[in-house]
Amino acid sequence: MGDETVRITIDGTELQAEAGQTILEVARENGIYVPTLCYHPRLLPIGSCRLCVVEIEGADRPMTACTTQVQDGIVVHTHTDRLHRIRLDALKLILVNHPLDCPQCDAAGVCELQNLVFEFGIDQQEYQATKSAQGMKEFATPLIRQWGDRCVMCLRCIRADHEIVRTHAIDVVGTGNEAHVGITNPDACISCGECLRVCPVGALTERVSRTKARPWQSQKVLTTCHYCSLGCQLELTVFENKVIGVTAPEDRGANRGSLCQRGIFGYDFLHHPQRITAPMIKGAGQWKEVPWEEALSHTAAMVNKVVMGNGPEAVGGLISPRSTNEEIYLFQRFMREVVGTNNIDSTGRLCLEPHRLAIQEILGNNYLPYTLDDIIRGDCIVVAGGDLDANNNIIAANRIREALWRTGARLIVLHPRQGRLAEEADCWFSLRPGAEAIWALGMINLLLKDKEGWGPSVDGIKGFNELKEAAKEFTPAAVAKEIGCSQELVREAAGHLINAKQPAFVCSPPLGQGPNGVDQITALANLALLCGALTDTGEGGFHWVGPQSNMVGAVEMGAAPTLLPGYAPASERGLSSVEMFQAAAKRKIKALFIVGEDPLLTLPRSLVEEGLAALEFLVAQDMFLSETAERAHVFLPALSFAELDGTFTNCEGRVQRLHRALKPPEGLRWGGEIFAEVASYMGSEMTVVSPAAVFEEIINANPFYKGTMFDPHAPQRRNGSGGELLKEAAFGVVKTEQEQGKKDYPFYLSIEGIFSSHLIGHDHQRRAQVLAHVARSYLAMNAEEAAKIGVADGDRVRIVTPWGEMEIGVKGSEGMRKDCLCLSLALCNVDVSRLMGPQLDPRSLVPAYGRVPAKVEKV
Amino acid sequence: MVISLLTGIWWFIRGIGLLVASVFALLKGLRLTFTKFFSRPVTIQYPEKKREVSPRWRGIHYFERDCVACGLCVAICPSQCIRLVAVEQDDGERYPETYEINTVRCIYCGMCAEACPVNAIKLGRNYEFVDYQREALVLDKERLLANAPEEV
Repeated sequence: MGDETVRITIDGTELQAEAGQTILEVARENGIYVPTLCYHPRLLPIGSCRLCVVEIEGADRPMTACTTQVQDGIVVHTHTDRLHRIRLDALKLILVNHPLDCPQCDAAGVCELQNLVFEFGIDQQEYQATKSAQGMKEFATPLIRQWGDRCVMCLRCIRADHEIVRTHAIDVVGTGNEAHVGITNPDACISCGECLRVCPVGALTERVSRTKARPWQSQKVLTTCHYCSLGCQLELTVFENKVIGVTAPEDRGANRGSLCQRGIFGYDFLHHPQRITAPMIKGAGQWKEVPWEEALSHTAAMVNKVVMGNGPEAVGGLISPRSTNEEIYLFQRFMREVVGTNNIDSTGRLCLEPHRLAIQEILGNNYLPYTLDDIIRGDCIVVAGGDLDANNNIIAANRIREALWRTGARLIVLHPRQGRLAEEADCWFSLRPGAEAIWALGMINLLLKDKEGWGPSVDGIKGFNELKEAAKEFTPAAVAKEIGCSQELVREAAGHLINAKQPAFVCSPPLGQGPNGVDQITALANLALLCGALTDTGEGGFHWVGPQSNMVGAVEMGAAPTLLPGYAPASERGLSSVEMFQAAAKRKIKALFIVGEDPLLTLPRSLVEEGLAALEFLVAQDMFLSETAERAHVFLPALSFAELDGTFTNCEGRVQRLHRALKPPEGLRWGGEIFAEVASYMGSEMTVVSPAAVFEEIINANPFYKGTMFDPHAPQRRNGSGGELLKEAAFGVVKTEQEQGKKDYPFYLSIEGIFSSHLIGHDHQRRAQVLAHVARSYLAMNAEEAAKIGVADGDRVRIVTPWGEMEIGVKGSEGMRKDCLCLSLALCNVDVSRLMGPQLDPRSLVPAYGRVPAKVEKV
Repeated sequence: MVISLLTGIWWFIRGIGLLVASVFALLKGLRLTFTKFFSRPVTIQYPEKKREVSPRWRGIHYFERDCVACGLCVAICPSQCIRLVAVEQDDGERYPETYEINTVRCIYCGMCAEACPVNAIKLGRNYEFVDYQREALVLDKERLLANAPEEV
């Protein structure tokens, strides 16, 4: 798009437009209606439906508005008799092959073709053709039904697949009248539902909910997705207090209408029969349903007893990063004010902390002001850490793809496995997790060599000389040897970074969740600062996407042993999640309050088991009786995200609202009310009126939330720190660690996706039943290495680490580093946490999810 | 004196006239009574005897054939008395898992039957539909099927 503005006249109105815009875009922007069918704002126009034809004065034939770019001075007419006739005939021709089964079609009522037919007043099929009755067909994914007859060949699904997701699972098959949407590569399908959401008719329908409802029977409730930290905005279709579908509005949130597999199909856990809807107390090993008063007063009495006997330090609290800001804020108030301890943590902190510490070291800030939209403006993108596609951060991955093919950005991927992004990358570094710092220093070395004088903007930054000194030994040869790649690749990547005007970095856990984790991110951030990705203007940027919806909010609300709300340091450091269980095993912690977390599945298992067994009192609040909750003494039922009012803070700092879509089961209350009531039974007063009132409290307690609203009129973000971002910038000191010899455990294991399946259950429970059809957890290992131990694809292997072992199916791949294993979890596996050791990174207090020494045996 | 006598006579004649007129009016009024009194009664001895309704009568609803759960009747119903839960079978066919017509709310306009694309819902000729409980006046799928007249 150019910056040049042109003037055009549409229907007598003179309008300003940017050169390069299409007539349709200009018309839409100015509220002039032009009918379309094959056009979709996120896709490249193909002009096939001929409904958007417009007349341009001077041109002898009508032109399609979606493909014609504006030119200075043109006069366009969008509604004339001739155009109406053309459109009417085009529509009638589309109808030739369309079955009139609207009553049975899912899309009826939201069908774009139906709307157009109604608008043009067509009441019969004028042209007839022999119809091939195809009926329902199997699609690339079992989650979507395909109805061949209803297809109008607008090719939106294929374009969405090729342009947004780029899986190339579907394509046009056949020619002429026989042409239809066919499945060309079903294995490539990732069930993201992008094709489903762009289909204008009912040719693709979702298969999750058996219950269907017309738009006039159901309501759509806008809320925020509770899966990953991108905080996609979605609309739950609610019918008779049941969620029967998920759609996404085009104009809201970071997702702009797109959703991932979990977001669009993973909602059936909301109505799972295993859900527990009454408080329970365990007596003699048996759960007994009790009234709320009894459960809460019992909880209060037990916590009080521990506080009296052993002091407040003997109580700990864990809260899920899928709780709302309001719940987390009240929970930390409960722990700090009512109980009187800083022993509070969340697994959200485990994912965010390494990044936060690195950013703080370099910029003195706790977070960065960039949004995911900035990625598109980047011209060289570095992806480090987890595999965005496999980890459910597909929206972020798609944003990178958009930059790649729309603006021709370069892509550098650092991951031991050649995932989908790595396949599209210009440079893929198959490095072992933990070698990111070495790579970054290697880049810095080459960057400094290329440009001796970097100008005052970089030279003047504190620590520049130290950085120069530290990078000296990381010559391309040394780096290539350490990483195990060619020197040319190192030079090529550095070349891309040198040429880049606006580099962007997209990082995600498990980067930083290993020994010296913070250093890895510091090194990457040093590089980002040096090559200009960290700017005040907010282009490119340094992004951190994580697996939990309120990962950022959890830390900002103070669910951290070292931080109060608003990143204020706590006067006294409490115990982190892992330390709490260590302390419990030593009988120093006697009571634990766990809200929505399942530490048995996400924290080092042996340690958690030992700790839980030694606890005097454990209260668990959750939707389901999770592994951990089964060992609790009191169980408090919780609300689902669809039943909650509140806010989430996503990874960009957007403060987004959750709206109550479902009426909760009788008697259930939100977390805030529960904490307040336990507090009152303990003899302290915590006034909790409503989530909105609590949000007011948050605004006062957390300076970063000043100016935000509980019910904003427009999308809002908590205070960005843009503008003065680089004022206190300083290059961080990075310790690099050479690869250590380890005889018994030849592999480095990284665990990805361990936090993403909260609530939807693990392999055996399959609470999101439909998702479980397509979700596969597997161990990715090098095909040669797999052949060495005699296993083929799909065979079960035993992963052994110094701390435990588990069995899982293996997937051999050529594009996998030889000494690495990548455990990709679609639904969490009960045994994964057995593989983890109790060691913590001393800086971030995070256990190792990456770089776990391991070996693999055939079962 | 003469004047007073004449006045008296005038009043006497006038009185007789009035009497005759009122008796005549009474008889006129009773004419219908007397004719009906001696003719056959119009009352139908319901429920022993039942009245034949017009062919266009709109009575209690019934299902003539399988509903496809399109929801058009729900959309058109002016008194919003239809509750439909559509469910998709594994083969993609839709059917109503729940179909309820609240006949207490229904105004028997027959729009549901008009809207039905497959002529599944119909309004029958039966008008006998009473109960002591409102709940019993809600027709479900089974009762709607059972309501179908025998000749269909």
